[in-house]
Amino acid sequence: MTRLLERPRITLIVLLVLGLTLVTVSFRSPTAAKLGSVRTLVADVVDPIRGAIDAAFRPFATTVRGAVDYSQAEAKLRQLEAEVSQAKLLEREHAAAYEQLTALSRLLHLPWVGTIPTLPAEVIATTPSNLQLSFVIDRGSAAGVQVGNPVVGDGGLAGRVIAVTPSTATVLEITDPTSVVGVRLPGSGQIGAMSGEGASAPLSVSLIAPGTPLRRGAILTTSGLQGGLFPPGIPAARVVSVSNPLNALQEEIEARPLVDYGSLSYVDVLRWTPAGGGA
Amino acid sequence: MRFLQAVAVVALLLTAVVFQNTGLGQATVLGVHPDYTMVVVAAIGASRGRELGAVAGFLGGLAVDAFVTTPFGLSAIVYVVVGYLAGEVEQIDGGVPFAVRWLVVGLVSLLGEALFVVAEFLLGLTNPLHARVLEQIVVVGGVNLIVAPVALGLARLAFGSSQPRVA
Repeated sequence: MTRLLERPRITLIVLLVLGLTLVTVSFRSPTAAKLGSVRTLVADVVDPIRGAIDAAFRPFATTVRGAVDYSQAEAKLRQLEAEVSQAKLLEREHAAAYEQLTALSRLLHLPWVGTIPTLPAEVIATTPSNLQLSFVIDRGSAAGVQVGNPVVGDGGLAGRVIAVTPSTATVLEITDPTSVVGVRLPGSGQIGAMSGEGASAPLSVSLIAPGTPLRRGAILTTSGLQGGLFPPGIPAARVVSVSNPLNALQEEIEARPLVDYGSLSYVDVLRWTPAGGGA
Repeated sequence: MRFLQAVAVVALLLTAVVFQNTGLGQATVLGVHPDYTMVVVAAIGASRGRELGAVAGFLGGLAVDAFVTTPFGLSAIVYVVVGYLAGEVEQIDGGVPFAVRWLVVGLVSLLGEALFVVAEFLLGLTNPLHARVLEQIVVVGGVNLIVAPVALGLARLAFGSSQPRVA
């Protein structure tokens, strides 16, 4: 009994009870104002130091990365030059189609991502945790970013804003295990739910009826159903495998995000919030 | 003396949290983020005992929780256990060899990461059976084992080389 009540154990018990209380409050009321202000306070203390250290070490880190990855950088440059050339061609083709689509959307009062105002932002950090797959951008509530705003970059859907401070915002990646995106299949127009399975793992698409025609490489776009977290029409992922097991109630579909999170530097925040707020 | 210890704990934790959040600390191994705050908490526990380890774990966990939107306090609970268990080395009679502290820091890091998986499962945040769980636990434990001497050195620098007082 004496051993049970020794001081380190009492400290342990008190701290665990405190921790459990915080988790319970936070879990039951994720928007608790006091917890939010603690988060903002810590971020406000650490952010300037982080910025200063990043700025101080960036030349060193860039030099090291450049020296180590020189051959890769050269190959990447050649690839990018080829892509830019193709993109210029495509841009001219798309310009006319875009004008037509915008005009038609306006005519039919359809929401479409091309008509939603955007806010460019720089990715300043990835969340350094295995609990959550997210990244931080350099625009926050002061620039008009709100919780629930979709974020696109690198030609596809990157995620949605889940937390904002005055100067930064945290974006939950679509690969996070808690992320679910409503998607529409090309061709058939069927609606499915695309769930994150963690870093490096393919996304899984469910609720698709067996026998639905779908080819590898097809692009899935956000469905934008009423109450959805994203507006319709944002390219989200590319199908990498489709299988139809015997007696299965749905097709097994795997997809990869169009966004390469490893090299994501700039994104666009769509000034659009879900009907329910998206928190 | 207690005030100086408190300052040392806060300084060590702040260093770990800032390092984790800069470009230098955001590198991944096989897509897994090493957990530098956990290794510092374990090093504090292994250097100064269970009580200070648990307190450092709580404070470090709260700081880490400020950067994610998972339930606030989740990391604090896990780090409290990590700091406390690492501090169990104070129970060993006589001086504790550096190698033992090193090993303890690596082992409790493995355990801490496994605890994260369990806690996430209990809160319905993830599926513990997904393929990368083992990878996540092994990478965090392995990297922490490698950087443990640095963390232990920092703790020694901050607290001096005296042995922790056995409670």
